[in-house]
Amino acid sequence: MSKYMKMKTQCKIQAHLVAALQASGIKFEQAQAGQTLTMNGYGGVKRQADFVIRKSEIASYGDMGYKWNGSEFDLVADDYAGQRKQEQVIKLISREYAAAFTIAQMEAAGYGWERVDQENGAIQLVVSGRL
Amino acid sequence: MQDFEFIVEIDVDGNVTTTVNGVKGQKCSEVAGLLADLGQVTEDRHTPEWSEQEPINLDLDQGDELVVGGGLW
Repeated sequence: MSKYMKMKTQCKIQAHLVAALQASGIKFEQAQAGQTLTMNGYGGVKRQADFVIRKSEIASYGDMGYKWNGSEFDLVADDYAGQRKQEQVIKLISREYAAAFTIAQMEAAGYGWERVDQENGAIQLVVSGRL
Repeated sequence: MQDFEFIVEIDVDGNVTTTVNGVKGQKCSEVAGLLADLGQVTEDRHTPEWSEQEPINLDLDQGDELVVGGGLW
């Protein structure tokens, strides 16, 4: 090993976020270009987002979504303890985003890759090539 | 040219750990750098192997002159 790096995933590329949402298998809505969707939060609070997962999909008190802030997609969600399904979905989307980003970058560079899904939900990507 | 293996571990929270194997020198940064826009780097370190130089293969025939450096002696 000659280099080791740790990163906290940030959703910056819409195409990969869409791929992650699709890979999660959870029904979501995407706003038309230049528009946003209204989210229904806990207590009737209304917020706007570019992508919305309705509360019925995540057994939550309110909808969750992702909204572009000019440099990345912010997670928009009610923060209440015990929203276990919502937390799982957020982590799942983050994992799938990281996988979609990595695979796209490696394919663009001409490298081969293999995906190994772990039992706990973690993902390992093994990339190989020549430099 | 060097064969390399690049391991990308995405943990259950979506955080990413990468390791580059088989590449000596700064070339490994070329591979890891492909993920630079994935997110915020929280740890970045090199192992001793990183500072090793990639061997240079010289294809010399008998009688070829090898000049090291370029300055005046």
